[in-house]
Amino acid sequence: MNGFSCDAAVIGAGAAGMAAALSLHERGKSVMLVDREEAMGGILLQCIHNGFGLQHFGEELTGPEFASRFEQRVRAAGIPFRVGTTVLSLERTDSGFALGLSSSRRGYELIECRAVVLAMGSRERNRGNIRIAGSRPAGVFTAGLAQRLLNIDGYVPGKKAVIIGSGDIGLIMARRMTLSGAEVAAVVEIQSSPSGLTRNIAQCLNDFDIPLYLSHATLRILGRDRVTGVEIAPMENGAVQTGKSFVIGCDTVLLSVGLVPENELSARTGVALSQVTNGPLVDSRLMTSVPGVFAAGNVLHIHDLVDRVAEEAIRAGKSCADWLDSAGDPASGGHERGPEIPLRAGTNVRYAVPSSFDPSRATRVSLRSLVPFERARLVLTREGREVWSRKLSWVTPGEMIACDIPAGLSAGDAAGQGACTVSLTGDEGGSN
Amino acid sequence: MVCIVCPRGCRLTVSDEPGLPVSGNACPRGEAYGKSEATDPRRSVTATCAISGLPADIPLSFPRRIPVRTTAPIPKDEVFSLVAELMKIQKTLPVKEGQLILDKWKGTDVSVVATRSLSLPEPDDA
Repeated sequence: MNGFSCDAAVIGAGAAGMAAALSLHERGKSVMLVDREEAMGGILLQCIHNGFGLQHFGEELTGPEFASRFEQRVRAAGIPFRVGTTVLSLERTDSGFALGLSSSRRGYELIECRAVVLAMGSRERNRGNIRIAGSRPAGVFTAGLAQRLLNIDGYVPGKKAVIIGSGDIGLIMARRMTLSGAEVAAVVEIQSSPSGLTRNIAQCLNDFDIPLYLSHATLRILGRDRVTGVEIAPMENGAVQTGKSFVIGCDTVLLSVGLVPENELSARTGVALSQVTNGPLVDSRLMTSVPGVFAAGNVLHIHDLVDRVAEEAIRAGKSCADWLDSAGDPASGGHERGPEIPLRAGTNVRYAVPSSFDPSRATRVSLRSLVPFERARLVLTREGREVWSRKLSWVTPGEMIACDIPAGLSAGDAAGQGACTVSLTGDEGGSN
Repeated sequence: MVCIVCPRGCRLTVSDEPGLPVSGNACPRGEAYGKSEATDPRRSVTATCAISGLPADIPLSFPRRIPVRTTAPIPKDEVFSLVAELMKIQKTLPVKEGQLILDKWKGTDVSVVATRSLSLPEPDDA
């Protein structure tokens, strides 16, 4: 069995993993980047549409182009990597961590490292997750699987599709299926507003006159050998109106009903996970409950924009480098940290990341609203008192909010150990 | 209309007064998009092309398509005809990112280029 050691192992070589590896490398840390696919790039490689990179690179790129920018930097930096390689195990040891790797080329390998960055991304929710009744015919795909079949493997998954859920992948696939010669009969969304970005409703559905059924539940998938249709019904006052159900004929169903962070490996290592996001609970350094294990990207919480994934992963890489600098030598000073204040999701907030923060430093907080607001106020309270707020416009549950809490918020309040709560309220702004 | 330039998705209003004043935009790109959408709607196009000449023993996981994009937006009503033309193209490997796939489509300034570099795996690619 072969083995080697490094300062930090990065699991997953998508946008998050490549960005984290680069930021660790820039701080002089030895890194090993591992991915189970045959190429670096992760899900970006199948996202052949454009719209990536406006924040990070200041220009509009396709997914493969965005991935290639990072891959070229990883290769130019000479960062060691393994593709086609699965991480079978992640275990704590006396000196850090041991990763068991498996690949057809090299067999079993063992990496010993002092820190780990989790960057495994996410999985798609499937039919079982949303409990759609009916028979079990061929022709039911998650939208991301259909995207891979179409854009990489070269198979059009069907001739006439209904897309269930209005997530961005589903909207992008509605356009891709149409351009590939298939018909998209409908996009069906149970909520009263789409979960994907507004611009994707415009350019993927409206451009092609694809009907969007908001506030419609999917009752059944029909068909024996192959899908023949889906039965849907309107929602009124929160109740499914089964008496008003109707059938849309199709041979293919694509499910775009959300993503779930992929944390089997993290959970087996004892990393505490959030019940809401299924991502690790992290402090303001993006460090999980296991000291030395950091997380960034969709493995932590689901992002809408890869630019934000890269930004978060660069921060995780820097924090990991800081931790490596200080952990080996507790007397080094300069990295002394007090206990962090817990940060909780309050009214109208589905979740907030990180789940604690150090008020003496500026903290980037990512959160999602439970409800849409035209104008809203983001409020941070501690023990019932408002300590900070910010105005926001066009808040929707489908779009992640990123905000920076400034340093020194409650510096004079060191005695208080109460949690901070982040909430969203409607803001009349005096003009309505 | 909804601006599609960036993920913010501003709600634009384009007046039919002279100069087509645009409101609702948060940046100058939105103003340009609003004017263009009202007079000459265009879209960037991404698609894939087939790869020919792959060896019979190539792994199933190896890509069968090369992703491509237009170098600039094309008139919206010509999107389907461009995609139909791209569907007929077959490329042999290696292909380099940025490589020309279709030069000056229909005599316009718009070309189609590959968006991913891809070459056959080395016999002992370790």
